[in-house]
Amino acid sequence: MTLTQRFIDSLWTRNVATTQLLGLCPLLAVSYNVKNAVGLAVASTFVLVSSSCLISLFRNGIPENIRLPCFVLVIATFTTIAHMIMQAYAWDVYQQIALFVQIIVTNCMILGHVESVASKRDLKTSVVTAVGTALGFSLVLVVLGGVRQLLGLLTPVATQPVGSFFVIGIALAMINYLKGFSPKRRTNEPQHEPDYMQQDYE
Amino acid sequence: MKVIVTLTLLALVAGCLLALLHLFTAGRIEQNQSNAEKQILVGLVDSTDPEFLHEQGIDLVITEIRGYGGTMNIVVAFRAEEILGVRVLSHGETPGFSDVLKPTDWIGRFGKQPVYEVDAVSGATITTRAVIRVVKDSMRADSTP
Repeated sequence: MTLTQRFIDSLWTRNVATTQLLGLCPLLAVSYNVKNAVGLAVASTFVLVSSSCLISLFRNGIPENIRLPCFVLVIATFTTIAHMIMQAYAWDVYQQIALFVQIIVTNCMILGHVESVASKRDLKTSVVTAVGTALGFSLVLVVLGGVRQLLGLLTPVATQPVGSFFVIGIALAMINYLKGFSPKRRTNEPQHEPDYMQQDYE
Repeated sequence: MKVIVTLTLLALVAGCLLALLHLFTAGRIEQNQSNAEKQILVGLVDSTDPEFLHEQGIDLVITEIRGYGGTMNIVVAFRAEEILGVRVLSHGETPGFSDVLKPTDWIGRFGKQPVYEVDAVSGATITTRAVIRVVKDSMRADSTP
Protein backbone atom coordinates (compact mmCIF):
# COMPACT_ATOMS: atom_id res chain seq x y z
CA MET A 1 0.00 0.00 0.00
CA THR A 2 1.43 3.37 -0.98
CA LEU A 3 1.26 6.39 1.27
CA THR A 4 -1.46 8.02 -0.86
CA GLN A 5 -3.53 4.85 -0.67
CA ARG A 6 -3.09 4.73 3.09
CA PHE A 7 -4.16 8.34 3.37
CA ILE A 8 -7.34 7.82 1.33
CA ASP A 9 -7.99 4.58 3.15
CA SER A 10 -7.86 6.22 6.57
CA LEU A 11 -9.72 9.33 5.40
CA TRP A 12 -12.64 7.73 3.58
CA THR A 13 -12.66 3.94 3.12
CA ARG A 14 -11.93 3.29 6.78
CA ASN A 15 -13.18 6.61 8.14
CA VAL A 16 -13.17 6.46 11.96
CA ALA A 17 -16.55 8.03 12.44
CA THR A 18 -18.65 6.59 9.62
CA THR A 19 -17.09 3.16 9.14
CA GLN A 20 -15.39 2.23 12.39
CA LEU A 21 -17.89 4.20 14.49
CA LEU A 22 -15.23 5.29 16.96
CA GLY A 23 -15.29 8.52 18.96
CA LEU A 24 -19.06 8.88 18.65
CA CYS A 25 -19.59 10.45 22.08
CA PRO A 26 -17.90 13.79 21.35
CA LEU A 27 -19.14 13.59 17.77
CA LEU A 28 -22.78 13.39 18.78
CA ALA A 29 -22.54 15.78 21.70
CA VAL A 30 -20.57 18.67 20.22
CA SER A 31 -21.84 18.83 16.64
CA TYR A 32 -24.74 21.21 17.29
CA ASN A 33 -23.00 24.13 15.61
CA VAL A 34 -20.02 24.65 13.35
CA LYS A 35 -17.96 26.73 15.76
CA ASN A 36 -17.86 24.09 18.49
CA ALA A 37 -17.35 21.34 15.93
CA VAL A 38 -14.30 23.13 14.51
CA GLY A 39 -12.93 23.66 18.03
CA LEU A 40 -13.17 19.99 18.90
CA ALA A 41 -11.92 18.92 15.47
CA VAL A 42 -8.77 21.03 15.85
CA ALA A 43 -8.12 19.75 19.37
CA SER A 44 -8.62 16.10 18.38
CA THR A 45 -6.45 16.48 15.30
CA PHE A 46 -3.67 18.02 17.36
CA VAL A 47 -3.75 15.26 19.96
CA LEU A 48 -3.99 12.41 17.43
CA VAL A 49 -1.24 13.62 15.12
CA SER A 50 1.24 14.64 17.79
CA SER A 51 0.82 11.53 19.93
CA SER A 52 1.10 9.26 16.87
CA CYS A 53 4.23 11.14 15.87
CA LEU A 54 5.85 10.79 19.28
CA ILE A 55 4.90 7.16 19.83
CA SER A 56 6.04 6.17 16.37
CA LEU A 57 9.42 7.83 17.03
CA PHE A 58 9.94 5.97 20.30
CA ARG A 59 8.12 2.75 19.39
CA ASN A 60 11.24 0.64 19.84
CA GLY A 61 11.96 2.09 23.28
CA ILE A 62 8.55 1.31 24.75
CA PRO A 63 8.46 -2.14 26.43
CA GLU A 64 5.63 -4.33 25.09
CA ASN A 65 4.03 -5.06 28.48
CA ILE A 66 3.57 -1.42 29.52
CA ARG A 67 2.75 0.04 26.13
CA LEU A 68 -0.81 0.98 27.08
CA PRO A 69 0.16 3.08 30.15
CA CYS A 70 2.78 4.78 28.01
CA PHE A 71 0.26 5.52 25.24
CA VAL A 72 -2.27 6.87 27.70
CA LEU A 73 0.38 9.03 29.36
CA VAL A 74 1.40 10.54 26.03
CA ILE A 75 -2.20 11.09 24.91
CA ALA A 76 -3.12 12.62 28.27
CA THR A 77 -0.17 15.00 28.07
CA PHE A 78 -1.18 16.24 24.64
CA THR A 79 -4.80 16.53 25.70
CA THR A 80 -3.79 18.68 28.66
CA ILE A 81 -1.67 20.83 26.34
CA ALA A 82 -4.68 21.31 24.04
CA HIS A 83 -6.84 22.06 27.09
CA MET A 84 -4.44 24.72 28.40
CA ILE A 85 -3.94 26.37 25.01
CA MET A 86 -7.67 26.52 24.36
CA GLN A 87 -8.27 28.01 27.80
CA ALA A 88 -5.70 30.69 27.08
CA TYR A 89 -6.54 31.54 23.47
CA ALA A 90 -10.05 30.29 22.72
CA TRP A 91 -11.93 30.90 25.95
CA ASP A 92 -15.42 31.21 24.45
CA VAL A 93 -15.28 27.96 22.49
CA TYR A 94 -13.59 26.26 25.42
CA GLN A 95 -16.45 27.16 27.75
CA GLN A 96 -18.86 25.40 25.39
CA ILE A 97 -16.92 22.19 24.85
CA ALA A 98 -14.73 21.99 27.97
CA LEU A 99 -15.87 18.51 28.99
CA PHE A 100 -15.38 17.09 25.51
CA VAL A 101 -11.88 18.46 25.19
CA GLN A 102 -11.00 16.74 28.44
CA ILE A 103 -12.39 13.38 27.32
CA ILE A 104 -10.32 13.37 24.14
CA VAL A 105 -8.06 11.32 26.40
CA THR A 106 -10.49 8.42 26.27
CA ASN A 107 -11.35 8.78 22.59
CA CYS A 108 -10.88 5.27 21.19
CA MET A 109 -10.10 6.77 17.81
CA ILE A 110 -6.78 7.98 19.21
CA LEU A 111 -5.82 4.96 21.29
CA GLY A 112 -6.92 2.67 18.45
CA HIS A 113 -4.77 4.48 15.95
CA VAL A 114 -1.77 4.60 18.25
CA GLU A 115 -2.05 0.91 19.07
CA SER A 116 -2.70 -0.37 15.56
CA VAL A 117 -0.51 1.95 13.49
CA ALA A 118 1.83 4.29 15.35
CA SER A 119 3.35 1.64 17.62
CA LYS A 120 4.11 -0.63 14.65
CA ARG A 121 4.99 1.65 11.70
CA ASP A 122 7.64 4.18 10.82
CA LEU A 123 7.14 7.90 11.37
CA LYS A 124 6.02 8.74 7.82
CA THR A 125 3.31 6.09 7.65
CA SER A 126 2.04 6.89 11.13
CA VAL A 127 1.80 10.61 10.52
CA VAL A 128 0.13 10.20 7.11
CA THR A 129 -2.52 7.82 8.45
CA ALA A 130 -2.94 9.93 11.59
CA VAL A 131 -3.58 13.03 9.49
CA GLY A 132 -5.99 11.05 7.31
CA THR A 133 -7.86 9.67 10.29
CA ALA A 134 -8.01 13.05 12.01
CA LEU A 135 -9.18 14.81 8.86
CA GLY A 136 -11.82 12.13 8.35
CA PHE A 137 -13.09 12.67 11.89
CA SER A 138 -12.96 16.47 11.56
CA LEU A 139 -14.78 16.33 8.24
CA VAL A 140 -17.65 14.31 9.68
CA LEU A 141 -17.76 16.49 12.80
CA VAL A 142 -17.83 19.80 10.92
CA VAL A 143 -20.29 18.62 8.24
CA LEU A 144 -22.57 17.22 10.91
CA GLY A 145 -22.27 20.51 12.83
CA GLY A 146 -23.13 22.51 9.73
CA VAL A 147 -26.11 20.33 8.82
CA ARG A 148 -27.47 20.43 12.35
CA GLN A 149 -27.03 24.19 12.62
CA LEU A 150 -28.88 24.67 9.31
CA LEU A 151 -31.64 22.24 10.25
CA GLY A 152 -31.83 24.03 13.58
CA LEU A 153 -33.13 27.09 11.74
CA LEU A 154 -36.13 25.01 10.63
CA THR A 155 -36.69 22.95 13.74
CA PRO A 156 -34.91 23.38 17.09
CA VAL A 157 -34.93 19.59 17.57
CA ALA A 158 -31.94 19.27 15.24
CA THR A 159 -29.67 21.12 17.64
CA GLN A 160 -30.82 19.12 20.64
CA PRO A 161 -29.17 15.80 21.61
CA VAL A 162 -32.02 13.83 20.01
CA GLY A 163 -31.34 15.52 16.70
CA SER A 164 -27.78 14.25 16.57
CA PHE A 165 -28.95 10.64 16.60
CA PHE A 166 -31.32 11.27 13.72
CA VAL A 167 -28.81 13.23 11.67
CA ILE A 168 -25.94 10.79 12.15
CA GLY A 169 -28.24 7.84 11.52
CA ILE A 170 -29.39 9.25 8.21
CA ALA A 171 -25.82 10.27 7.33
CA LEU A 172 -24.49 6.75 8.05
CA ALA A 173 -27.26 5.17 6.00
CA MET A 174 -26.44 7.46 3.08
CA ILE A 175 -22.72 6.78 3.31
CA ASN A 176 -23.26 3.02 3.48
CA TYR A 177 -25.51 3.29 0.44
CA LEU A 178 -22.82 5.20 -1.44
CA LYS A 179 -20.28 2.55 -0.50
CA GLY A 180 -22.59 -0.16 -1.83
CA PHE A 181 -23.70 -1.52 1.51
CA SER A 182 -27.40 -1.72 0.63
CA PRO A 183 -29.27 -4.66 2.15
CA LYS A 184 -30.21 -5.83 -1.34
CA ARG A 185 -26.60 -6.01 -2.45
CA ARG A 186 -25.74 -7.80 0.71
CA THR A 187 -28.09 -10.71 0.04
CA ASN A 188 -27.08 -10.95 -3.60
CA GLU A 189 -23.33 -11.00 -3.30
CA PRO A 190 -22.34 -11.57 0.31
CA GLN A 191 -18.79 -12.57 -0.61
CA HIS A 192 -17.70 -9.16 -1.89
CA GLU A 193 -18.23 -7.31 1.34
CA PRO A 194 -14.94 -5.85 2.57
CA ASP A 195 -14.15 -6.29 6.23
CA TYR A 196 -13.80 -2.69 7.35
CA MET A 197 -13.15 -3.49 10.97
CA GLN A 198 -10.09 -5.52 10.18
CA GLN A 199 -7.25 -3.50 11.55
CA ASP A 200 -4.18 -4.63 9.61
CA TYR A 201 -2.52 -2.06 7.42
CA GLU A 202 -0.35 -4.53 5.47
CA MET B 1 13.87 -2.53 35.33
CA LYS B 2 13.43 -1.12 31.85
CA VAL B 3 9.73 -0.85 32.56
CA ILE B 4 10.28 1.34 35.62
CA VAL B 5 12.86 3.55 33.93
CA THR B 6 10.72 4.08 30.82
CA LEU B 7 7.58 4.99 32.70
CA THR B 8 9.39 7.25 35.15
CA LEU B 9 11.23 9.08 32.40
CA LEU B 10 8.10 9.48 30.32
CA ALA B 11 6.11 10.80 33.27
CA LEU B 12 8.95 13.17 34.18
CA VAL B 13 9.19 14.58 30.66
CA ALA B 14 5.41 14.94 30.43
CA GLY B 15 5.27 16.66 33.81
CA CYS B 16 8.05 19.11 32.94
CA LEU B 17 6.43 19.91 29.60
CA LEU B 18 3.08 20.66 31.21
CA ALA B 19 4.68 22.73 33.97
CA LEU B 20 6.48 24.82 31.37
CA LEU B 21 3.34 25.35 29.34
CA HIS B 22 1.48 26.26 32.51
CA LEU B 23 4.00 29.05 33.15
CA PHE B 24 3.23 30.50 29.72
CA THR B 25 -0.54 30.16 29.75
CA ALA B 26 -1.40 30.71 33.42
CA GLY B 27 -1.47 34.51 33.07
CA ARG B 28 -3.79 34.50 30.09
CA ILE B 29 -6.09 31.87 31.57
CA GLU B 30 -6.41 33.88 34.77
CA GLN B 31 -7.17 37.02 32.79
CA ASN B 32 -9.84 35.20 30.74
CA GLN B 33 -11.33 33.90 33.94
CA SER B 34 -11.46 37.28 35.65
CA ASN B 35 -12.96 38.83 32.50
CA ALA B 36 -15.66 36.19 32.51
CA GLU B 37 -16.31 36.80 36.22
CA LYS B 38 -16.51 40.52 35.64
CA GLN B 39 -19.07 39.96 32.90
CA ILE B 40 -21.20 37.91 35.27
CA LEU B 41 -21.00 40.66 37.89
CA VAL B 42 -21.88 43.35 35.34
CA GLY B 43 -24.93 41.31 34.37
CA LEU B 44 -25.96 41.38 38.02
CA VAL B 45 -25.19 44.92 39.23
CA ASP B 46 -24.42 46.96 36.03
CA SER B 47 -20.88 47.93 37.05
CA THR B 48 -18.11 46.51 39.19
CA ASP B 49 -16.60 49.93 39.90
CA PRO B 50 -16.20 50.15 43.72
CA GLU B 51 -17.34 53.81 43.78
CA PHE B 52 -20.48 53.05 41.81
CA LEU B 53 -21.27 50.17 44.15
CA HIS B 54 -20.73 52.39 47.19
CA GLU B 55 -22.98 55.10 45.78
CA GLN B 56 -25.75 52.62 45.12
CA GLY B 57 -25.24 51.04 48.52
CA ILE B 58 -24.63 47.63 46.98
CA ASP B 59 -22.62 44.98 48.82
CA LEU B 60 -21.10 42.04 46.99
CA VAL B 61 -20.39 39.00 49.15
CA ILE B 62 -18.28 36.35 47.43
CA THR B 63 -18.13 32.95 49.12
CA GLU B 64 -16.39 29.73 48.27
CA ILE B 65 -18.26 26.51 49.05
CA ARG B 66 -18.01 22.84 48.19
CA GLY B 67 -20.56 21.77 45.63
CA TYR B 68 -21.06 18.35 44.10
CA GLY B 69 -18.05 18.44 41.80
CA GLY B 70 -15.56 20.73 43.50
CA THR B 71 -15.64 24.26 44.87
CA MET B 72 -18.08 26.85 43.64
CA ASN B 73 -17.58 30.59 43.87
CA ILE B 74 -20.87 32.27 44.59
CA VAL B 75 -21.57 35.99 44.73
CA VAL B 76 -24.56 37.45 46.54
CA ALA B 77 -25.47 41.07 45.85
CA PHE B 78 -27.20 43.06 48.62
CA ARG B 79 -28.70 46.51 48.68
CA ALA B 80 -29.35 47.46 52.30
CA GLU B 81 -30.91 44.29 53.73
CA GLU B 82 -32.37 43.17 50.44
CA ILE B 83 -31.00 40.53 48.06
CA LEU B 84 -30.57 41.84 44.53
CA GLY B 85 -29.48 38.55 43.06
CA VAL B 86 -27.15 35.57 43.25
CA ARG B 87 -24.70 34.37 40.60
CA VAL B 88 -22.12 31.62 40.34
CA LEU B 89 -18.68 32.82 39.25
CA SER B 90 -17.11 29.40 38.76
CA HIS B 91 -18.17 25.84 39.44
CA GLY B 92 -17.35 22.24 38.65
CA GLU B 93 -20.85 20.77 38.75
CA THR B 94 -21.95 18.01 36.41
CA PRO B 95 -23.01 19.40 33.02
CA GLY B 96 -26.76 19.24 32.64
CA PHE B 97 -27.42 19.39 36.38
CA SER B 98 -25.52 22.67 36.49
CA ASP B 99 -28.23 24.23 34.31
CA VAL B 100 -29.93 25.37 37.53
CA LEU B 101 -27.00 27.77 37.95
CA LYS B 102 -27.85 29.68 34.75
CA PRO B 103 -29.20 33.19 35.47
CA THR B 104 -32.40 32.38 33.53
CA ASP B 105 -32.97 29.22 35.56
CA TRP B 106 -33.37 28.45 39.25
CA ILE B 107 -30.66 30.76 40.58
CA GLY B 108 -32.40 33.74 38.96
CA ARG B 109 -35.25 33.33 41.45
CA PHE B 110 -33.16 34.89 44.20
CA GLY B 111 -33.98 38.56 44.33
CA LYS B 112 -37.33 38.05 42.61
CA GLN B 113 -39.05 36.22 45.42
CA PRO B 114 -38.42 35.92 49.18
CA VAL B 115 -35.51 33.66 50.07
CA TYR B 116 -37.64 31.27 52.09
CA GLU B 117 -39.68 30.55 48.97
CA VAL B 118 -36.68 29.31 47.00
CA ASP B 119 -36.55 25.53 47.35
CA ALA B 120 -33.81 23.08 46.48
CA VAL B 121 -34.16 21.34 43.13
CA SER B 122 -34.47 17.56 43.14
CA GLY B 123 -31.71 15.98 41.07
CA ALA B 124 -29.42 18.88 41.86
CA THR B 125 -29.95 18.78 45.62
CA ILE B 126 -26.33 19.23 46.67
CA THR B 127 -25.70 22.07 44.24
CA THR B 128 -28.84 23.99 45.11
CA ARG B 129 -28.50 23.40 48.86
CA ALA B 130 -24.96 24.73 48.77
CA VAL B 131 -26.18 27.90 47.06
CA ILE B 132 -29.02 28.35 49.55
CA ARG B 133 -26.60 27.87 52.42
CA VAL B 134 -24.27 30.51 51.03
CA VAL B 135 -27.16 32.94 50.70
CA LYS B 136 -28.31 32.31 54.27
CA ASP B 137 -24.79 32.61 55.67
CA SER B 138 -24.07 35.84 53.83
CA MET B 139 -27.40 37.29 55.02
CA ARG B 140 -26.33 36.67 58.59
CA ALA B 141 -22.87 38.07 57.95
CA ASP B 142 -24.40 41.11 56.30
CA SER B 143 -26.78 41.95 59.14
CA THR B 144 -24.04 41.87 61.79
CA PRO B 145 -21.14 43.91 60.43
